[in-house]
Amino acid sequence: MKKFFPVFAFFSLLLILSGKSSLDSLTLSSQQVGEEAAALDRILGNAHREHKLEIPDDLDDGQLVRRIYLSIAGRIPSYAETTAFLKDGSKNKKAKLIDYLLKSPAYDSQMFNWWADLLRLQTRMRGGNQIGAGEIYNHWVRERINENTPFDQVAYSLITAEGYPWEDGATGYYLRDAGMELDNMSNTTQLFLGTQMVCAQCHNHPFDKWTQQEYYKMAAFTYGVTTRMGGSLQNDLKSHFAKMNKGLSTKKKKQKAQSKEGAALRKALQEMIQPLRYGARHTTRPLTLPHDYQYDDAQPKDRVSPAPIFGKALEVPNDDLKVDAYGKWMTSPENPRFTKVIANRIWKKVFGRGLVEPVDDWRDDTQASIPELLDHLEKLMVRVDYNLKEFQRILLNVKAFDREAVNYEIANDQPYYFEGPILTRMSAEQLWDSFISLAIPYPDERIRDPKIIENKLDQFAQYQDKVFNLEPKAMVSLAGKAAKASKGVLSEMERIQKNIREAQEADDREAVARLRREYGKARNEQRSLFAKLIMGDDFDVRSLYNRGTNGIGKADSRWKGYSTGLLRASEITTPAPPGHFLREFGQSDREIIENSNKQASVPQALTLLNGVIYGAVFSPQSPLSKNLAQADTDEFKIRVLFLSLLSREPSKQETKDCLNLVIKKSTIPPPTLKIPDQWPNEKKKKYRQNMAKKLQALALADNKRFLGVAWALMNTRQFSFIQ
Amino acid sequence: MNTPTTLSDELNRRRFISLAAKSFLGLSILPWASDLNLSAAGLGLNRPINHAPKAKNVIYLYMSGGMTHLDTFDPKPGTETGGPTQAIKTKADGVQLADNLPLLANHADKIAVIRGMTSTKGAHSQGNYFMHTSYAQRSTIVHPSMGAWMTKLDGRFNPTLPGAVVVNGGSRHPLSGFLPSTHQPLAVGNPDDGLRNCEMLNGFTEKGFKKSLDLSNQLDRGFIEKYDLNKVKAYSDMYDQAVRLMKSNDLKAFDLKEETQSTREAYGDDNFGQGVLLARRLVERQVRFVEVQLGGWDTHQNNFTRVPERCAILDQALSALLNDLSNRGMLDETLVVLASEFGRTPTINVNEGRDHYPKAFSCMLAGGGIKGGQIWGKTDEEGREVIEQKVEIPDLNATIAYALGLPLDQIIYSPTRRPFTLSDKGNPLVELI
Repeated sequence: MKKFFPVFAFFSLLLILSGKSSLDSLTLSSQQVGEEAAALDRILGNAHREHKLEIPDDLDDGQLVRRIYLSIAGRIPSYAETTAFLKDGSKNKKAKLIDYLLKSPAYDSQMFNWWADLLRLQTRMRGGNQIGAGEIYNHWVRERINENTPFDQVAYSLITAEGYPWEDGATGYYLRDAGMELDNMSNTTQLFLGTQMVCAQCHNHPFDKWTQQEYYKMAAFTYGVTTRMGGSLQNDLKSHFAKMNKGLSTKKKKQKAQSKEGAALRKALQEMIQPLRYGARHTTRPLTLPHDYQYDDAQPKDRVSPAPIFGKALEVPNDDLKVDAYGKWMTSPENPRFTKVIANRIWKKVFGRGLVEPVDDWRDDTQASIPELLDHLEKLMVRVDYNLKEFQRILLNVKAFDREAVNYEIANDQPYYFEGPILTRMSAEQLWDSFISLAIPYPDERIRDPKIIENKLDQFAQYQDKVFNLEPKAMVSLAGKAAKASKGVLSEMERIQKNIREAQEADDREAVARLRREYGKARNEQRSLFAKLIMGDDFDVRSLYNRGTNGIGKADSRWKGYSTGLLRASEITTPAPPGHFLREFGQSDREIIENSNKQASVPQALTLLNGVIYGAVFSPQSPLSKNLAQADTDEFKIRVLFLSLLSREPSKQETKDCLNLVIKKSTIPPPTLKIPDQWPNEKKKKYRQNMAKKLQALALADNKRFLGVAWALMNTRQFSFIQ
Repeated sequence: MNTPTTLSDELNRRRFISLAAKSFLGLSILPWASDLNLSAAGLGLNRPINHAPKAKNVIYLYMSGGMTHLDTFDPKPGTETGGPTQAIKTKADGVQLADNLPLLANHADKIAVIRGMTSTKGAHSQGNYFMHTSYAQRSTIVHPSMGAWMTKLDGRFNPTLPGAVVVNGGSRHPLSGFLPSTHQPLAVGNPDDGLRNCEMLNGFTEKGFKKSLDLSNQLDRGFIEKYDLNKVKAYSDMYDQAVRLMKSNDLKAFDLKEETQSTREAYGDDNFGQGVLLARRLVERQVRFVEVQLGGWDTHQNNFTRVPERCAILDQALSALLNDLSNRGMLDETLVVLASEFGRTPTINVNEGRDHYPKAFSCMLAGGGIKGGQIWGKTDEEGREVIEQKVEIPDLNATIAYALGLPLDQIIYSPTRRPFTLSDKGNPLVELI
């Protein structure tokens, strides 16, 4: 007999009806989606007939709901979500669920991980780390995902990014590769054109057709982008000092510069300019060939003029417009690779493998396994206006998505015709987010507060405005005041630094940690002293420097008592610190493009056998524990575990095998006392409440008997692989 | 019971099997010698291979921050750049060390000092990366570090323990780079903490653990039969290995409490000393490559008070290690390397410190068939320029590989199909061996 908890079923129904999203981000009608998907079905069907392929069975509803959640929400469905889907008898329930999930915050979280791998997002980013530019860039990407900005527009914004990070968050694209302009170009072609040019940076490409000359011509478009800002401020100050020192002898000038006061003043000025030094600026800096250029088509150190590697020649009217022209060329539907590459990437995202593999090493002779399908997808991508949400929505409605993963080995260089998806291990993020959803309630809603970073951007803008409007003379006078006022705190900082060194040498970690905090405090004091002189007492200086809080505190009562570390992968530091669960399971270090992996390792097995994550998953307040405690028979509890972890019902034999492991419950019924009538109502109420609490505690304590089964399920391959 | 004899017998057997497998499979022949792609990629240098290598395993001591050469292995007493550091005589004729390393002086007959190191990478991150990988740091690829190359090209000798371990390596270590994660060196923070996640969850008994694991396997049988694929099998293998490791006696390698108090004290009661002791315990069980880092060498200020403190830690641990290895008869098969990203400026700055200086610096090799008591390379009187026998960083790494008998010219392709060799174009200093 099937049983459902009325409370949970009701709750999940509500969840589905409420839709959660304020603006409906889906633009195509269900009918349009159905027609587009059917067109893909036809092309696939032809290919399958042509190659005489055996078509795998359709997934059962349990496996299907699991696959849909993992693909869109980035985690396994909860017990309530699974049972709601199983119970739903409507014909279009799959399409309905896809639409619902595409509009949910879980989709945004999942997409952030995808973008983070592509763009190598790092919270502590190479360029502009001093002002937390990595956070600002991440925020910009989050906004693009929330707004579902079309992919071509995102690409264009990244390539043409300019200004301060708070003016244009896309400047992170250049700050990420600060000082490595040539590498930045190789990353651009790999990312947007699926083309590997990096070998040609030092010599003609040994396996592809690219010459070093072509590489340099392509790099010449963006070589002029610099991440150093605030040059005009420095120049103004320089000429100010030159004017002041006019008439002084060289010796005097030198003396003045080398004096203690001179040094303190310079330091103070640098401190004031510091927040305004990172961003992206387009200059006309020329690119020249390397001094050891070895080919006949040009001389070493020749100046290189920009030219695209393929497609039409580009008219570049002048240097100022070349980045814009480059961005337009790159993202145009006419670019021979741009659209194909993103269509193929998204296809891979949904089906586990690209029509073209590898997805980022296209050559002239590259052939898709089903060329007609790739052509069709390219046109489709243009038709949906590079709307990745709609594009995925169509792919998810393709019949092949509903089939069982194929169960034969496919070599890397063997064409694959997509009679079903590829069997894949969950990504590090999918696995972690699944555990999170077992450990905390409302896992998709425990997200960063955007107001915190928005406030930071606002403060930066005010600071910029103020400093750029200061006359050099006023600035020097402020710096002088600041230098004087910060004398005390500076010597305090020096003292602490010395103590830190000593503590480090004595290997006294506790002292080091304490002193670091002290130092941070002093540094903040010094910084706020500076900023307040410039901006006035009300200015929140910490937002300029602090990486600050993500706004995920203990304040929200929904997660009272749950560790603040229990967050979805998209909400914690990117990448997660070394040794973190996510890194253990192959999360990209985000050093190079798409650097995640799904390879097995011993530490992974040890983590799944003995890891600390079980503390949270088995805690009495986890959704898993609560659902388990509510089930009233042992058989039912096994069923809850199967549905919660594997999204399916156990077979009779499986239930029996599991029950064999479970110690029988004592048969003595819990005590029930009749409440004496003469008790006052208050006392009765209290008594009832106490009793309910005790019973719940008993039920939770009873969970212990089932931990072995739960653990056994989480250690199956069925759990970590997506069928 | 594992007496030292039976342990090493068992490990020798494993090593024999591993080597035998390689020669049966013909892996030591050079299939790449005729590869046309080589010249196109600028490789194919036909460098020598050591066919009678003595070294099996490596203990790699990394002095993070840039170790001053002038106050350690290349003292210049009596010159302005030498500062107050004096030179002392050692057990080896003609080898002088700085007075900061008095204990090591007694082992000078075991070490080869390389004074001709030179590099162009003067920033920590770039220098550190270059020393660990032989390649310049790029934002399009991460190259593997030596430990990962070693298990990739020569395999693991101990089936339960990781092939390579890094103690105190920080978060920027290149580890296995683009190589598969099966070659990922295991990162250990505190040597006293042992290996993570090797203890059963609270509430599990040994019997309960086994029963639950059996249940797990039973429930999975259908799936595993249906999806008889390598990637699924890889996980089953890893689970077997993990369970073996949990029960393994080799796990005790990570338990420093097994050592006597006097041994622990001999290595020094600090993170580095205990890390070096852990390294010895690991190579004893044929872990191939163990790196231990000692930080604090970035002496821009107060060089002459801070370097003696760093040296005291290094001197004690390194001397204890050489002593211990030689007493246990392990010195010949264990290559000990001491390296750093760069040296420090001969000119002493206003803060009594020395700044970054990649142009000339020192490294050290010992054991593993290295001829002891020798000096390679020479800097000028002030320690500014290498005037004899220049050694580039890839050359040092090629020498380590040569001592181990690793194939210097074997090309491994990154997943993006770029060709790499373990020490780029470095040439081994065969004279040292």
